[in-house]
Amino acid sequence: MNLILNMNLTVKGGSAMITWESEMTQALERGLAEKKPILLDFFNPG
Amino acid sequence: MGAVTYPDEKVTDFVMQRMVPLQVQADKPLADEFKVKWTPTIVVLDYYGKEHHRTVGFFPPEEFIPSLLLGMGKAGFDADRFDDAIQLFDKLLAEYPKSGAAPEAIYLRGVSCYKSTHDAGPLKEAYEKLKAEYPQSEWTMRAQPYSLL
Repeated sequence: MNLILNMNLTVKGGSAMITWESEMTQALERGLAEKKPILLDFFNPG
Repeated sequence: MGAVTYPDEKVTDFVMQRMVPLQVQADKPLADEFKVKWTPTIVVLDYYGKEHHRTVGFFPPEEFIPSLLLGMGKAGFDADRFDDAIQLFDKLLAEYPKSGAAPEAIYLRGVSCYKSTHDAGPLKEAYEKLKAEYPQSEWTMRAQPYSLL
């Protein structure tokens, strides 16, 4: 059930959506493991 | 960004395939660490957490991807990985030649070529390309001394 809910959160109209990390530590760990740079977006939720 | 740029399919594919996306509210402590004063503020970091590129304000999809490519190229440039940087600048210039990021990419491509070969030719070529294609760009001004090489 959780898997199905998570899939619904990341799929819209057949296109994938950006799945954001929310913690710097996790993002850096992923970046190092996947050899990818980090896109850091500071936003105002309004 | 959340209404227009991030839902764009090309942006989504680019970000998910080539970067680790991290989104943080501007009222969190991390925003103070990065001295964020306005949103959206977009920062490109290497995987050690070092900043290489920053923009403030809205970018539509056709400007956002080249801005990210520029940031990734600058990360390579800053780390002396000039071949990687040149590859990213070339991709930007081939796919988004009319973007706002293009003039800086031309400039940094020329510098990257010079630093990896010690041949001054690419610096002059960068200036000539900037002068011909982006005469009003600040990067044309910055490259102007290379006309004398």
